[in-house]
Amino acid sequence: MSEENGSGAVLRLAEVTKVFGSGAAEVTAVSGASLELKRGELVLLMGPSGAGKSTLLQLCGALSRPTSGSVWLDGVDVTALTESRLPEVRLRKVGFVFQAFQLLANLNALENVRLVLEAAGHAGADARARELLGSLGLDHRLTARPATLSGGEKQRVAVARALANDPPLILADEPTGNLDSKSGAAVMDLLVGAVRERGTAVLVATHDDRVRAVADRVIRIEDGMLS
Amino acid sequence: MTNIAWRNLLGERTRFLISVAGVAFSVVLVVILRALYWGVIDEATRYVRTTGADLWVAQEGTPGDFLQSRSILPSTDQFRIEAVEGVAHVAPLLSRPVGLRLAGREADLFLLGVAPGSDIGWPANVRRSGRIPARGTIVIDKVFAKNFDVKAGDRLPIGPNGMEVAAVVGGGNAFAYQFAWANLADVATIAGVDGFVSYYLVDAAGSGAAGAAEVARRIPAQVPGTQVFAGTELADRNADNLREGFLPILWVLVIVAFVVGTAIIGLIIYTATLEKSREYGVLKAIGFSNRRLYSVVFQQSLLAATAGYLLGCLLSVVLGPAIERIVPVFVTDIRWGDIVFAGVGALGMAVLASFIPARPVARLDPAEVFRA
Repeated sequence: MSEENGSGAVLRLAEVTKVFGSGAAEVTAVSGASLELKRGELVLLMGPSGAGKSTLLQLCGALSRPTSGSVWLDGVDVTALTESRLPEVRLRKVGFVFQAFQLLANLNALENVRLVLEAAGHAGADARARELLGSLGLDHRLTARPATLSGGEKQRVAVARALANDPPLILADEPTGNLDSKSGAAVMDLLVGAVRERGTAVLVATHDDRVRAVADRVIRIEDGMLS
Repeated sequence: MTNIAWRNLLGERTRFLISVAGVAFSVVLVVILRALYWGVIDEATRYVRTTGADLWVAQEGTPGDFLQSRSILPSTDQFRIEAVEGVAHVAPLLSRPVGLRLAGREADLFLLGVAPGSDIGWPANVRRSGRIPARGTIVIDKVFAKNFDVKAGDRLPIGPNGMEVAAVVGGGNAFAYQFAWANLADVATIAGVDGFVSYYLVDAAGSGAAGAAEVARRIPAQVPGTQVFAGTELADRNADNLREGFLPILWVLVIVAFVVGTAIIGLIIYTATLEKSREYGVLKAIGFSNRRLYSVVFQQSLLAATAGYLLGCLLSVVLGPAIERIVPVFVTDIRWGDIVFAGVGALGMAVLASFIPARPVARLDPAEVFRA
């Protein structure tokens, strides 16, 4: 069973190590990582390609299990949960924003957002999705398919989807990576807004030095080790 | 409610239409084959079931399949049968298959000679109309008439002087050949038999079912060399024999239709799922459980199968009568039971087809979305 960690942190990693492969092919992607994110905190995770940023995000989002150590999400030790319980944790406790947007091509903007609300059993999913997209300036693009949206619009829809279930934690992987500077800045403003207005904790893995200014904290990762 | 399955199907219309067509093809095959099966059995046994006779008296040892049996009884037996207690009326029946050439084609008829004064033995609509054919005339079945473009008033090259078609009626299509009815004396001349008939049709009027059974026991006891069948027994045996020949082939074709339908829908849903694996990975990452994803895959299969089933039923209803018009010998009888049977089959196809992509969905690693 999960246990409350009592620290008040939204995300807590304790001595987390992730090893891929075995024997001669063994690769340590993350080594002894410990970190905490509190409510209302925006933290950047920076480091060169292959440093372990994506692996760390996977561990933080309960998408992957650590080889050793513990991951606590909103007070729940996800490493102690069975595989079948992890989707529910991800649905309710984590919002994801990806570099490639990862919207469902056959659904329009409204449906992409409404989908996660319905999955969580949210009453008034449609109204909530409309409200969210409206607040992100997309009320005129509700029925547009992802293929017809600009990069900036797609990422705003993705942010709306991440915020939909009001998760305590948002994990963003290079959210400005595929955007021009103006759109990138707008997306970062949305994430900052979530931190300030909702008290969401946001962990952003990025190469983009331009976003450094909005961060409360910057954590560096190199060769799988945090510094 | 956002229906991902429906949106995915609509997003891949060609693929959706192919899977719908695959299921529809299977449903049409199943429904039409079953309809032909019922139609053929019903048609092939209709005359025997509707002669109006309570009992059929045949030569002892006759197997009891009217279409396959040959029975010979002396004409003198008629008076002995009429003398049996409970017998109200006896009608002799003489059967004789005949072959003839019509418009350069071979034609087969199963000629039945009935005594003109009898009110049993003639096809039901002849009895109802009271227009018993005169000597030298013949009543033919409508399927035969259509196959060889024969109509009332035409002469058929049967017997030494030929026979004029007196009427065209339904209820005489035995699939392999059709019945035709004529005066007993004419058929005796054509068959070259004198003093013999094939069967005696017995009206045990007023005896009731129990009484008819008692009459059936009395006749062989009082008329040696005879055997008695109940009114529907010959028809039932005909139907049984047709089933034995028909059903194994039918089931093989039904199974083939099911496998083809399942394979088409399964492969299409499988390839569609593989192509959408990135999106399934995204759904898994944002919190969809394997069960919820299976449900999306199953819904896709179910929607395609349901659309295919409805299309298949519609096509069957249209095709059944069309087949009858094109090939009159193929009578179709679409029954609700077969529509339900095809529906259960389509549901089975959907369930099996959704199992095929279940494994790749289960094995999707949600962490892959970070590597895209």
